[in-house]
Amino acid sequence: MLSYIGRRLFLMIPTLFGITFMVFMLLALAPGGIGASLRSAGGNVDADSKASLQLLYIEDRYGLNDPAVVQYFRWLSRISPIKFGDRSLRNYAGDLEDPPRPVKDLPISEQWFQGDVTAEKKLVEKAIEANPSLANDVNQQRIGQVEMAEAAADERRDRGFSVGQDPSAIPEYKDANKSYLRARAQYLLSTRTLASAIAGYASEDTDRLIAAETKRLEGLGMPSDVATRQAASAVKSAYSVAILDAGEIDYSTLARIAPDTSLKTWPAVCSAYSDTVQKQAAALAALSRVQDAYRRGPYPRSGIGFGNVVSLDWPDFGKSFTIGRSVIDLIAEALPVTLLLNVVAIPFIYFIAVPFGMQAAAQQNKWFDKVSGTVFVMFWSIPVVWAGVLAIGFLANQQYLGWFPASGLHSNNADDMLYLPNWVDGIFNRGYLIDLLWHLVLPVMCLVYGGFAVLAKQTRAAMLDNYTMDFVRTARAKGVSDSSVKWHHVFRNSLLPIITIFVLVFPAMLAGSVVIERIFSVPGMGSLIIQAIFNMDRDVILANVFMIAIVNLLALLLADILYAVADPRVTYD
Amino acid sequence: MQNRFGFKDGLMLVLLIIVGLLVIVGMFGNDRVLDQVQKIEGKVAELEKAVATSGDAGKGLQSVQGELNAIRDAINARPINVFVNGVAADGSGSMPVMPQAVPPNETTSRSTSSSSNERDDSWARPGVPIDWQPPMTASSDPREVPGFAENGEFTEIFGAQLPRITPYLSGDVYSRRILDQVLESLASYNADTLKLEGVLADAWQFDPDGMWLRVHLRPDARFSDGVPVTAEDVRWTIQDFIFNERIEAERSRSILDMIEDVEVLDDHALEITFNKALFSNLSGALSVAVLPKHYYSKFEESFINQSTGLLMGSGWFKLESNDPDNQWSPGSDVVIVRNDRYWGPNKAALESLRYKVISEPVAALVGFQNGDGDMLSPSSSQYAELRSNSDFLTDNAIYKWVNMRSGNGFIGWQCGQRGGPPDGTWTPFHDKRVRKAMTMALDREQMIRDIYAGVGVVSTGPSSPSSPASNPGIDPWPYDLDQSRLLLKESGWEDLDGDGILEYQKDDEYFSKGTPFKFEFTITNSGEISERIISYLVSQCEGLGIICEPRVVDWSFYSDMLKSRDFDAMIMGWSASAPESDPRQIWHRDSIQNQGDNFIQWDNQAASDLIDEGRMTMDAESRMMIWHDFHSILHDEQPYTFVRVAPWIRFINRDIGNVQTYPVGLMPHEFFRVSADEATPAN
Repeated sequence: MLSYIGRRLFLMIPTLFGITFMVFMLLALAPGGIGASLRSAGGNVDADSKASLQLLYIEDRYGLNDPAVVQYFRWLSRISPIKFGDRSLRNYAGDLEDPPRPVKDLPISEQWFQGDVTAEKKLVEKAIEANPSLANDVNQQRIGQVEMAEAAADERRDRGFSVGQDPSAIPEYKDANKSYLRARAQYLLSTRTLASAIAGYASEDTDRLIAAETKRLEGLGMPSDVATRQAASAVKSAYSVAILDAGEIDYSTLARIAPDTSLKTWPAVCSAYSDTVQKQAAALAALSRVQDAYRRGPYPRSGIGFGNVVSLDWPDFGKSFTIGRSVIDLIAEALPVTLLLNVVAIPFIYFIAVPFGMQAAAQQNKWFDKVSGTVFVMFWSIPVVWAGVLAIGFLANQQYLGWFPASGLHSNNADDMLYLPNWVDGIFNRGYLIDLLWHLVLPVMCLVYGGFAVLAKQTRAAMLDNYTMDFVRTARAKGVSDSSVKWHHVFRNSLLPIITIFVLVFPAMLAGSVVIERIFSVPGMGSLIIQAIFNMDRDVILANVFMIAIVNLLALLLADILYAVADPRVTYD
Repeated sequence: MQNRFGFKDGLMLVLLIIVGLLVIVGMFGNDRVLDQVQKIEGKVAELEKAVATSGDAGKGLQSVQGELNAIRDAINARPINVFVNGVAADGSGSMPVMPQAVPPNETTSRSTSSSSNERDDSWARPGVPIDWQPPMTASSDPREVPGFAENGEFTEIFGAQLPRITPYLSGDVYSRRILDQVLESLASYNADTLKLEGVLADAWQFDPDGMWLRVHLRPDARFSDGVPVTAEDVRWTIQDFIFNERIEAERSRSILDMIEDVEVLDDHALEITFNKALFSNLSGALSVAVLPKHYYSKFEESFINQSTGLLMGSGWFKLESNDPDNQWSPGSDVVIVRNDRYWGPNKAALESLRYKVISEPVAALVGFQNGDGDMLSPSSSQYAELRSNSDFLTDNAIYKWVNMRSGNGFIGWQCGQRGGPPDGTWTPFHDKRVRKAMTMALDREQMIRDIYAGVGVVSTGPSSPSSPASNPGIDPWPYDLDQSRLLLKESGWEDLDGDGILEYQKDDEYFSKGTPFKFEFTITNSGEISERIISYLVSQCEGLGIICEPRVVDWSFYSDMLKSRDFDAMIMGWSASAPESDPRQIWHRDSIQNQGDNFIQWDNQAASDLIDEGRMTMDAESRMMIWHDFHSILHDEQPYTFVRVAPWIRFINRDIGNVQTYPVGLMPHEFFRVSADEATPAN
């Protein structure tokens, strides 16, 4: 049995790889790609948002401009509890300070410019000089900051928390990190400028070619309007093949085409390129400064290391890039709400459906069987959306019945309530607990009513199978009482299908019910996931998929173990 | 003995489960009490600190006493046995509070600025006129309205979950509404005149060339914890918060990227320098909401990035607790309470504002009618259904007005090549006569009536009609099919073969002769409204002999489509946040390249020149004249057919008094709740 469980657990790993990879690639292939929603801020273009600059920052922070496969492997290495290479630092707020990311290479090499751009070789050194490390600064303010950092580290040490190798490096690390992030953004911005200069260059080339072609066609006697149109559709610049949709440039293609230095926009391309080179040098310089500070170890290292190669650390599920908060926090907020709903709802389904199914089997084809079956199927056929809206419109609306609240989990004044029901001056106060249960009635009702039919029918069918078995007839013949036959002989043997359904409840509990959560404004997992899907919020979707997949696999394993418990004939040895 | 699970065992098990459940429930209950005790202890500590630091004893003590009284009331109202430092204080007893007899200090409360002849202008640069600001006044005084009552709560229902309320980290409209009540900026738009008026600033000097701005702060401004607002707080907010790359405030960082440097001159004066001369420098820099350095600088940047409710400011309201370990988190209502130590003259009348999320429109309306909320932004159909329902109107009032934040809906015509040059194809809309013809073929009054349930005003340009940038002399193009046909014929589109479809009668660089007039109309899938728009547009086009092919796409794809200019015509909306915005991003010819937001590729030299000129004109009045000219060009060229300005609609419970609709929006801090005994009972 144990070896079976071990094998199953081991097999989970490739399954999880497969599932997450597929979801990742589906996300990347969807129109707009990962993070599409960042580009369209909820349907409105805010005239003042300067969206492209902002987008640039965000895309860079989450690495959205890298190829999807690279992004996937980066994600894998973040969620893996086993890390290779240098350990990240963890700051005092408990968040990771990852090693600074490398600066991207120049998009196209200097050789392409055929000597029109000659960057100075010592640009990086110059930039380092211009933006020196402040490690040993004598500036009063800096000395004060270093002292404060050391004092904070001492205080942490006294309270038994770990501190970094060199806490006095914190001010330098922070400053260096800021200037690196700034330099990096400026470098990226300059590559955008370069791209638009190249686009302008290509369109000038096209215009020139069209003009020449038009002239040629006119020479053949074609009227000028038609000639222009024909020329426009017939010729285009060789450079335009390198210009992709949405203004991106395919530099490897461009590098294979020799530039035409006679075009008027050529100097603009050259100057944009030399600006890019400068900005890259500045970014490299800032990178080396922040790397120095990082190596000094301003913060304690994260996780448990084994030598310098392998370490164990908590998986990092990343951040939602539409909200900017950690995915774990988001799930930690939503999951209890969904669990609460389901923990209340699922026992209801079982305690009603299973006995009804059993009774229906015992009274097969009698009125109880037919009525309960019909009613359950009727319930099952009512769409939740409709039922929910009806419930709100009639049961919650005070113009009609108004018995229950229309939305949320607490009343406005729930914070001021006592926990348990109480009487103050003869007035009944329902208290926090009852208030919560009262708010749960409608959503739980909507969760429950559709679930009866399937479970009751399954139970009935399984029971019926067993009622026709020989051992049941034998038991009856021996004079065993009806209820004993039902409970001890038939029901126990009918448990298998019920177990199958039972374990599938767990993943469903995690996923939440989108419709019910939406209708009743309950901020649970369903709302979180659906919102993430609309926004193509990579990390939130992946973390949820990952979690649900694990729970699903574990639930199936649990089902197999329960089979063995319920049925002695089942063994896995 | 038989080893079977019998009735007694069952009973035992059930009893055990019940006991277990009771224990768990009891633990939760205890936890809750502890939370509340902690909250109260935090509050007491805060007050102790305030007493210790409070320099001006009169005002400080008064407000402290007020708060202590409030705490005492709160504790009395909650007869929980609270053990504070070993002393039991329960509902029947009372907390020891300060003696009641503190002389009211009336002289300090209203003196906000000294008289004009003794103004200190040593902070200013010589030779440049100083823009002195009037003392802070209320837009309207709720205390003069009949039926006024202090205290009470006002609940607004939001239609979507807010992710966080930490300033600068989120940009959604809902959190902005909350931040507006808690934070204050150097200046804000006057509710009626839409002119910038000093809030935290009592004066400023703006370089006539637009390269620097000197600001002087009101010396009596205080954050909600009583600490004075200083120039260093402003500098810190800009340089060490917004421009701190370790803080994820990209949105604000990119909006304020024109700020070069901030220099503190003295406690209450500072100078902001800019890296380019733009008219928007003034409003951009002055609208920075000032954060208290002493509060936010305690936190690691990554803690701020992850926070949901680190919010403190100097405004009318504040969070009840500023405890960083116990922040507001999404999923619960946002409650902000009156800042009893508000430094300005117009303290809020309401005790607290509550923001409640009900995402389902039906549930939101039911919740509103049940009294769970006092204000609701209804959908157009809910408005249409209830606007003449007298039962509804006895308890509730409906407000509908156009203000500076009203959104603009428009149809954009592809003026350049679809797909972008050089491979793109021309659309018929490259000709302004065709665009004008399309505008005249659409009866926008009828569209508003039939598609948008009568919600909207026909608009003529990008600015809201209430904005000074909008040219009041422009009337919308009339609905005139004959004129429309004429214009189409003039530009070469005529049906000569009698098949009911217009064909191109010229042969030029755009189209060959005989090309039928056909275009694709792109719209996002937003349910019924999109369907109605499509069917109206298609039928109007049919009447003219134009083939309009609707294409419904998802939002996530829309922006890619806009960027690659891959559409003939599309419908979209804008929201605005200020009375005047910089038109460069959308209308300038330079924004055609580099994936700018001029996605309809409207290349107009005259308009671009006007934009460039306007951006460099610092004087507001002459700039407005330029914007009016720009508006006329837009009107004549019709790159967009402006369909409507969507007014704000609000259902507000009649128990709420002094609701005024301003061109800037609403002012919840001036509302009040009619006290329960005066309110007419609901029938």
